[in-house]
Amino acid sequence: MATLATQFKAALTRIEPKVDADNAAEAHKLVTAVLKADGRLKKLGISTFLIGSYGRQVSIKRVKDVDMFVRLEEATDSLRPGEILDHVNDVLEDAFPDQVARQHRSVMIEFPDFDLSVDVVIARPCVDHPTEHWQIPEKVEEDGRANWIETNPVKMSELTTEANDDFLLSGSGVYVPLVKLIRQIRRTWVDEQPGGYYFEVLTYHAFQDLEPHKNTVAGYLCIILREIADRLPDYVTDGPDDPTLDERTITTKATQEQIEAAAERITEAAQLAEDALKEEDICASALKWQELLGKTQQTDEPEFVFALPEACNADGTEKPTGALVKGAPAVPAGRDRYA
Amino acid sequence: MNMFSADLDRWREELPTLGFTDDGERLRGPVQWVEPARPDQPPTVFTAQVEIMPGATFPFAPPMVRLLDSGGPLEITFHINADNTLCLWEDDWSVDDAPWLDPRKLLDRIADWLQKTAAGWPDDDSCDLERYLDQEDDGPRMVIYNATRLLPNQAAQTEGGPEIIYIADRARRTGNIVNGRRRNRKDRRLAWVADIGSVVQPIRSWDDLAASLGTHAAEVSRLIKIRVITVILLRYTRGEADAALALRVRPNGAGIRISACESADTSRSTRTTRAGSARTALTDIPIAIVGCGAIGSFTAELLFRSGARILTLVDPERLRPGNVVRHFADLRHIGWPKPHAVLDCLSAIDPQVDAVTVTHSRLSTLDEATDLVLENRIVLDATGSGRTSSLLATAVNRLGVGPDHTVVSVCVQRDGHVLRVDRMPLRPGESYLPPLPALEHASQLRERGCGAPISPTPPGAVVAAAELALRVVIDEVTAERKLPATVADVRKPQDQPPFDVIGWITSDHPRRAAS
Repeated sequence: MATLATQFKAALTRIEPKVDADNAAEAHKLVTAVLKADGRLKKLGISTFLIGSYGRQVSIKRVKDVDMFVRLEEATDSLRPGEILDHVNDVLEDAFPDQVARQHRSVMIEFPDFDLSVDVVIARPCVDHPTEHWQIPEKVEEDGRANWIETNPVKMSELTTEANDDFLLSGSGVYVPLVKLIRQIRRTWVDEQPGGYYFEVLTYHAFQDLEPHKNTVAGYLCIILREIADRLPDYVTDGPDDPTLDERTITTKATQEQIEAAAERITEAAQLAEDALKEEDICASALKWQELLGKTQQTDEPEFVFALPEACNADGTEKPTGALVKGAPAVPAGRDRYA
Repeated sequence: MNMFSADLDRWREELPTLGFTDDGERLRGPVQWVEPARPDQPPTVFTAQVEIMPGATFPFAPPMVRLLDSGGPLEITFHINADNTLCLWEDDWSVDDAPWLDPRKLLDRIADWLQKTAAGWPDDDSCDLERYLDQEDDGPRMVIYNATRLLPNQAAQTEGGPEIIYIADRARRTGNIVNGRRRNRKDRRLAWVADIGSVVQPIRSWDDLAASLGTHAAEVSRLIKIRVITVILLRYTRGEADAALALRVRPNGAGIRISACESADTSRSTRTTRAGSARTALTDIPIAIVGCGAIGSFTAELLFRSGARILTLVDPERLRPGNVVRHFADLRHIGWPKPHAVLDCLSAIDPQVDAVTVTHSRLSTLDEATDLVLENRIVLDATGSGRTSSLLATAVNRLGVGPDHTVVSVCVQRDGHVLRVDRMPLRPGESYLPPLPALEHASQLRERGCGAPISPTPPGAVVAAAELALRVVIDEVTAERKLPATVADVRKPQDQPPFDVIGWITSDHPRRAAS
């Protein structure tokens, strides 16, 4: 069995969006300052919160967009989605000329210098559950009429934190690293749909249902990936349960065919992971892990996420010997020397 | 790139099979250990949880190991570092043979550490109390003391500082020292000396220290708080070993802060401990060194470092700047008589040079040579002078083998390519190696104002020749007498046998190369 913990740690570092994270924080700061300076939004009790994979710290590079949840805590059910989105659009357009685009449900601000965009999502307290949930606009028509749809992205952040505190490896949370690895595997093995959040939810359910205890990242990855592969065919018509809202399921743009194709590919990936773990030869194992995790995507110079150990050739064979040879003394005179 | 990373990868793979978790940095897992049996109770097995981190020094040094949970009752005492990593191996190992390369041996060692901790480290004599204390945070300090002159339970003045603090021999009464402007300026920066005997657990705080000071603790505390005492020197024992712990002490808001300083004893026994096994034999033997040039100066130094103290240094010359590059003395001694310069250098190694005599004159007559041989057990001829060597050889040969007097003649030849030492007189059945014939070519090196050519012998050959002479002298004074009449070290083969092979040749084995 080869678990290659050092290489997994390096792989996680390699998909970490360090530069993007700094840029995203700066962009978030700029947008928040503009919105909080507006008198009308102030009166509506504006409070911003980063959501999405970046907000939950489960994003992998590159991060192209950052979702910003703009809670209007004092808003009532009389607030019309189209009209408030227009207002937010105007406020942002004044501050970021030619960078702003009104979308169906949100306002997007491009930051060309950072090569990323911030998607501002307006939310009001849920009419039915005002103390727990939020509502965001559904598709807004040209006349400003639209429905509000219930959501609770803040809850997903809380669940992520809890799961990372519950499942530990050597004293540190292992859930977040696993979500990142699963996201990377999705990028490598699945065509565009289903998306990263869909797989994140599948990972969450796998952890909650299995309550796994493994002693390496490799061990966790095998068991979680197999669980996702086994479950995916069940979601051809309805997505997995939404952990943030009772009796709701995750929706996806993926067609049935795309979900079936994804299930097939993830089954292949799970088998590859299990083969890699069973492999006694660390180089043969590492080559399989490398195939599983693929290369970094949307980066200038794609690189393998999983680097082979230095003992290994690129084809997965082992180099002749390690540096340490038993019985070949590095100190010819032996012990008990003084210099 | 770490060339050992492949080995590290393989090393890590075994620990998960032993129940360890591995996040790529920290390995955490169980170690079983047995509590020592108590009367009428069987041994109890506990399972500790440890964290192992192979740091940047691994595998040349052991991995860092921290105890997360002992699994049973355990009072941590000795052999743990200030950062809470376990001190598992005090001895160093060659990396190819290090026991921590085998994870099972590592875990066995941790279990052994836990068991010994539970047993109170019986028979342990590691004197390392400084390990358990904070080190100085405003720069390292060293406390120097003379162990033979300090009396316990009293204060002594200090000198020097701030980096090197000497505890002086002068004791100070402290009973009447009070705080305030009228305090004597000398009543500052005092050291308190205490002897706390055998220690059973490390000192980690002022409270631990106060407990070991016994009835003196209150007075010492008072003096620290008014900033009279700034250093404490604790003498203690562990097992059969004596040791000292130097502490810097300062009042702070919460009480008294203590931190460890490096310390060292200046007593003669400590300063001569490293002199070698011949020290005792050399101490009372009178030795004369005739010729205090390059080889003579270094031989004098080596003999002095090795324990010789009754020395006579003879040379008629003064030290020239050009001599210094291969002489024991340095540029400060330019113009000094060479034997005086050597004496000055010896006194920097050990001030006890009262039995060293210097003669700034040439050995010219047979009577002078005979007197010198009679007055000394060994006369080392390091002159390279045909006349002086002849005088000494004649003198010792006239006295014969019976009297216990020996002349050892040392030189380098062929520009340092051959080092040679001859012992006189010959013992029955002995002979010398043949002489190397003189070559016709002469050195082209000249120093302005100095008519004689200069030997191009390099400094390394000079030091090597001095060491060879030292070995012959020690062989003689220790009465081992394993070395024959001539010992030569051929550093570059010469045309003339037996000097045509590299290595040691002797008059007993002229064709054997040592290598």
